[in-house]
Amino acid sequence: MARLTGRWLPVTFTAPLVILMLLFFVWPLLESIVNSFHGYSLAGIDTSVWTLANYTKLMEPFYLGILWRTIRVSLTTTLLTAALAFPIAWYIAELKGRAQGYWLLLFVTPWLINVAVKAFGWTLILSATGVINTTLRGLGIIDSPLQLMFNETGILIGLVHGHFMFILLPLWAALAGLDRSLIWAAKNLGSGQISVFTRVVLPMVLPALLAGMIINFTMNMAAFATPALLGGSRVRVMSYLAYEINLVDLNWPFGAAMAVLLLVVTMGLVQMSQKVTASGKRKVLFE
Amino acid sequence: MVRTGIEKTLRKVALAAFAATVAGTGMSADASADDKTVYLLSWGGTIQTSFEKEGWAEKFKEATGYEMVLVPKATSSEIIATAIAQKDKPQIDVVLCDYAAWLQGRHQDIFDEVDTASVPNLNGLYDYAPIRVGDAILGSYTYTDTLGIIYQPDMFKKNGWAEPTGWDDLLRPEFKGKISIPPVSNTYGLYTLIHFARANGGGENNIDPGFETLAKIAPGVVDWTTTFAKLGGYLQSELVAISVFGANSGFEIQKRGIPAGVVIPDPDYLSPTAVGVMKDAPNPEGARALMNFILGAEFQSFRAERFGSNAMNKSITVSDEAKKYLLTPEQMARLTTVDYEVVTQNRAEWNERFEKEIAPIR
Repeated sequence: MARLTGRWLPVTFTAPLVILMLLFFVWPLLESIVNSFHGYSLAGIDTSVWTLANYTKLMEPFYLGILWRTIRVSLTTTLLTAALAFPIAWYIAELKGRAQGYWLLLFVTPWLINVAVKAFGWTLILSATGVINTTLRGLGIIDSPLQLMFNETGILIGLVHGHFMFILLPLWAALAGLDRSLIWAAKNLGSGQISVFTRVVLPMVLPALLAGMIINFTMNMAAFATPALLGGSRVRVMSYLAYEINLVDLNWPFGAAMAVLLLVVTMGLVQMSQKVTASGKRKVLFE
Repeated sequence: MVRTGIEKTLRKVALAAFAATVAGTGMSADASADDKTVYLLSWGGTIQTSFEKEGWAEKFKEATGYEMVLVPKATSSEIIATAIAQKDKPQIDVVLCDYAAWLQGRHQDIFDEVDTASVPNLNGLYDYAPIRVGDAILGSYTYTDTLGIIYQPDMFKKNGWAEPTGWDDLLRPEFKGKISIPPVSNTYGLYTLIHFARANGGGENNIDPGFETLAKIAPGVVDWTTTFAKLGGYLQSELVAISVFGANSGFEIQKRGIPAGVVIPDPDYLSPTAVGVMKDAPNPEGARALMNFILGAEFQSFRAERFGSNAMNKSITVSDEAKKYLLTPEQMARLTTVDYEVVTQNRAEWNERFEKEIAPIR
């Protein structure tokens, strides 16, 4: 009987997923890339034409402006989430076992709720007649309602809330696993609070923080429902436009070019951040 | 000892998963090979309610012997994109969606010719319902919606505003910041654009006046709303005082207890849904049987009674209560049509122009 041992075992294990990814992710992706260089007419994709027109069109100020907004909103969300998640992760890491579980559950819950339902929930809270505006007006703090949705603020609130756990969880795991004696040792050797944080704690949890931030950022870049529902039509992001071009206009070549651009930009930014952080980490540790 | 036990189990799991993946990828291609099943690609929502909850799939089976399976999508755009994506090897038989989207499919040559021999109910429809290209019939309107000016009566009472009467109310200054209109990419938004072009000396072939009017209204628009669920929410929370949408959706919002008034504007537009049989459908006979069933008086009467759909079948019977929400044949005849060929040629450009010029206006 043939035995699955040694080097064949991992191959057999990964094969199902590899095949799935090749068939349903890599293949369509390649097809999209090819399509993005084709022409389009009402009769469909024109495979007899090879062109860069879809990409040159994307260089129009209108599309670049939307790309820049997408990056700006995604990055702001990631930085804001990181800043908010750090103290919370630290607090949770200091708690006893069971309490940690409850707190984490609290922050994971938003992810378990359908994104459209969440966005509708936010509408009830953020709209001109929503809870926040009604309360603030009732207390006489504001005269006219604050514009909390149908703008970038709305998208930001929705995304920070929706993707919070992707930074919180890895950060919490890293902080919970941190050897506390290192902090005592640093203090013992005369380090102040800030110095302990920047030279001991931060370098050690940096990989986790960075991993979380990268996941968070890529999810923000690809987010569709939250920007569509809380941002509305005045502040379009790339994913919404790609949806509309693909599904309403049925211009798949141009839609594909848009998707490729979004993918390349996202991957480029992720690569860049990894490089910057890697060199930064060396600096912190060795200089 | 324990380790080998685990390894054995892991091996079994891995092999099983591997086998399942290989089998799974090969299997789907044959799913629709059975010639007793008809696949309908259409909406969830009221179509799904009709066939799956209200028993019309059962009635279809009793009448024809075919099993019907609905492949539901959220929007007409998604329906037609799905149909086009599989045009080389269709797995669905019949497509039912908004006419504007249906026509995009027609341009990509996805629909098969039908005739009155295989779809006899085509004979019982209004003259304009069958979609003819030359001598061939490529599909049919099923029923039509019209546009409605939908407003929030409580807000009107509170502010002492005069009730709206038609299109021009959208331009009244008191509604600034409380208007909702669907974007041009949406069928109702498209009609709104064309209406304002026509009303100001233009039309499908001269769309500029339409965009100019939308630009005037745009600063007062709180959201360019695409779904009736969203619109219902805005009316309920008094975020929106006045809007344009399908009249049927307006009545549906009313029936759900949300304060909403519906005014049928003049002129109003024919906004039909359309049905067609996929070219190279796996089950061509079953497909025609289903198309015939959808156009039949029995099913069309139900749609009219239950959902207020204005039927294309001339011999439907409905209650007096339902008639309140339906157009009379005379009203139907008066509905304005748009030149859909021109629309289809220009739609992508109009959508882009809307996104660039109108949507960003604050």
